[in-house]
Amino acid sequence: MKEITRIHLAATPYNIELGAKKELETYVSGIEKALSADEDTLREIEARMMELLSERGVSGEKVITSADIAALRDRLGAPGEFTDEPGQTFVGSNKKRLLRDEQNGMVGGVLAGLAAYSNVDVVWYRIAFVVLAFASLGTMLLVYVLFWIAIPAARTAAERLQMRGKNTSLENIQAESSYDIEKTPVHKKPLVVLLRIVGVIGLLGVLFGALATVVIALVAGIPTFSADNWMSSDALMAALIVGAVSGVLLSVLAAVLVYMVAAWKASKTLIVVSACTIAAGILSFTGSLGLLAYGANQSEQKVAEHTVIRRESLPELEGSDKLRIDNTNSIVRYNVSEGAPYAEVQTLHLDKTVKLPLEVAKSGRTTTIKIGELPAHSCSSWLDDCAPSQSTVTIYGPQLSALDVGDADVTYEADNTRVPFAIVANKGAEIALSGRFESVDMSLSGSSVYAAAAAISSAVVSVDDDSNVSLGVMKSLALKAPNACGAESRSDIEYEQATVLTLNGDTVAGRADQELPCVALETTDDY
Amino acid sequence: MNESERYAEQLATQLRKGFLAYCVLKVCSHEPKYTSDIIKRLSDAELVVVEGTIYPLLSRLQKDGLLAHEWQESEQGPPRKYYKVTQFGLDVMNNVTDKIAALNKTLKKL
Repeated sequence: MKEITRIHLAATPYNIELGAKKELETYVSGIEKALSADEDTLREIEARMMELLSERGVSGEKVITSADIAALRDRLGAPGEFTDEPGQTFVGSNKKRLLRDEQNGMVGGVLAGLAAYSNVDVVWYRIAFVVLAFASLGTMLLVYVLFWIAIPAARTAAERLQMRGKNTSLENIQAESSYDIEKTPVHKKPLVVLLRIVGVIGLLGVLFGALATVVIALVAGIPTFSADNWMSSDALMAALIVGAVSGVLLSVLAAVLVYMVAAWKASKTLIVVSACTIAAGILSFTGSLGLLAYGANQSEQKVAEHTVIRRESLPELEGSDKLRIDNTNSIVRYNVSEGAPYAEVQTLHLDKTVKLPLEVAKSGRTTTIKIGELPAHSCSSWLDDCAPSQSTVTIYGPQLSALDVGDADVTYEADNTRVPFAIVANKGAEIALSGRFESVDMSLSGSSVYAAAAAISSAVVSVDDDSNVSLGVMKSLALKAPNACGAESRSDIEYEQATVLTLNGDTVAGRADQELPCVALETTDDY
Repeated sequence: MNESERYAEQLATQLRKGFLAYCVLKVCSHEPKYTSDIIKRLSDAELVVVEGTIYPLLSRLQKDGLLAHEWQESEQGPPRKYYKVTQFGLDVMNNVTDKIAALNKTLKKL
C-alpha cells in the first residue's frame, strides 16, 4: 500500500503517491532553477504536464504514480534541457573552464573550483592555502578575494560540467541536473565554516609542532643518549625512540583530522585509523615516560658508582698568601680554613683508577696550581664528546691577599678578610666571591666576576675587553675603564648600591645609571 | 549508438538549434498558436527531441521581440498562452527564409 497525498498543478488539484510527489518536486525545482525564475513559463510547463497526464488517462480522482512522472520526464526532458544558452548548452563541448564551485566550496568556492579544474582533491588546496596564508602574512586572503571577484561561479548544469572538463552532452547534463537542488548544508553555515578554518589551522599547528619537536629531540638526544656516553643507559635511548614514535603518531592523528575537517568527510576507515593512532600514541607516550624514569635512575646509579673523591695535601700553600690558578676545565673552589692545606679532588670517569694531575709550584709567597685533564676515553664513533668526564677540586687553605685566575671557573669563599684582597681575572676566567671583604681590587680583562653575594666595603674595579661584573651594596665603588674600545668589547657592570661612586677618578653625584665610553653601568637597586 | 551515429547526432543537434527558432516563427506566422500545438507540429517533423527545449526558446523569442503572446480561455483547465509572430519576427523569418534558400542552393551545387 502506498501513501497518497494531494498536490496542485497549474491550480488544479491532483492525487499523487508520496514517492511520486517527491520526484515531481525535485523535477520541478530543477526546471525552476534552469529557467532562472520565469514564472509564466513555469505555469505553461505545468499546464503541459496536465495535458500529458490526461493523455496517459490521469485526471479527476486518478492517482499520479512514479511511472507517470518518469513518462513526463521522458517527454519534457531533464531539467538541464530547460536552459537557453546558445552555443554552450547542447553542443558537446568539453572545453574546461575555471569556474567557482559554490556547491562544494566552503567560502566562495574558489579552491573547490581550482580543484575541479585541476582534478585534484580540494582538501590539498585547502591545506596548502592555510599554510600559504600564514607564510605570506595574509596576502593570500587578498588574492582569494580577487579570485572570488574575477572568477564566475558555475551555476547551470552545463557550467558545472565545463568546470570539471566533462562533455556537456545531453546524458551528462541530465545526470548533473538530477542532483542540483540543495539547501545550505550544515557544514557550509558561516559559523561552522569559521570553526572548521580555525580547526584546520590549529591542527596544522599541532602537526608541524609535533614533527619539529621530534626532529629537535632526536638531533639533541641521539648523541646524548648514545652507547658511547657511558653515563647514559640503553633505556634512555629507548625512551627517546619510543617518545619520537608517539610524536610521529600525534602528527599523523593531526594530519588525519585536518583531512577530515577540511574535506568534511568521516569515513569508517578514517575513524578507525584515528582511533588506532590515539591508542598507539597513548601507549607509546606512557611507555616512553616509564623508560625515561627507569633510564634516569640507572644513569644516576652509574654516576654515583664512578664518582671518586681523593684527598691530596698541599704543603706548598702553607705560608703563601698569593695564589695563581692556571687554565683548567675542572671546577675549582677555594675555602679559607685553618690547619694544614689540602685539596679534595672529585672525579667522575669510567675508569675509577684515573687521577687528575695536579702540579703545584711555589715561588716566594706565590703558589701556582696547574690542574691537568682526565685522560680521554677511547671514542668509537663520530661523536666529539662521546664519553664525558667531570672533575671538581676543592682547596682548603689560608686566607689570601691575591688571586690570579687564568681560563678557569673558580669560587672563593672567605669568612672575613680584613687585608686588602686583589683579584686578577684573565681572559676566560669566571670567578665567584662570597664572604666579607674590607677592600677588593679587581682587574678584569675578557672575564667575569660575580660578587653580588659578597659583602664588600670598598671596591676598585678595572674592566676591559667585554667583561662582566656584578656587585652588591658598597660604601664606595671606584670604576676604571678605558675611553676607547672595540665595538664588541664594551663591559657590563651591575651593582646594587654604592654610597660613593667614582668613574675614572671623578666622583659622581646621585645614583642614576651611568654610561662610560666602554662600560654600561647599571644599578639593580629598586629605590 | 555507435561513434558515427553519435557524432552525426551532435552535428544534427547544432543544425537543429538555429533551425528550430525559424520553424517556431513559421508555425506561429499564420495564426496564434498554443504551446502544445507548436510542440505537436514540430515533433511531427522530428524537430523536437524533448519538449523542454521549446520553453526557453519561446521565452527568448518573446524577449527579443519576435513573438508576442495573448491569454485565451480554454474549455478544460487554466487559460492558455497563445503565441503570434510580430512584424519584426516576420521580417526576421523572411530574411532567414532567403538564407535557407541560399544554403539549399549551395547544397545542391556540391
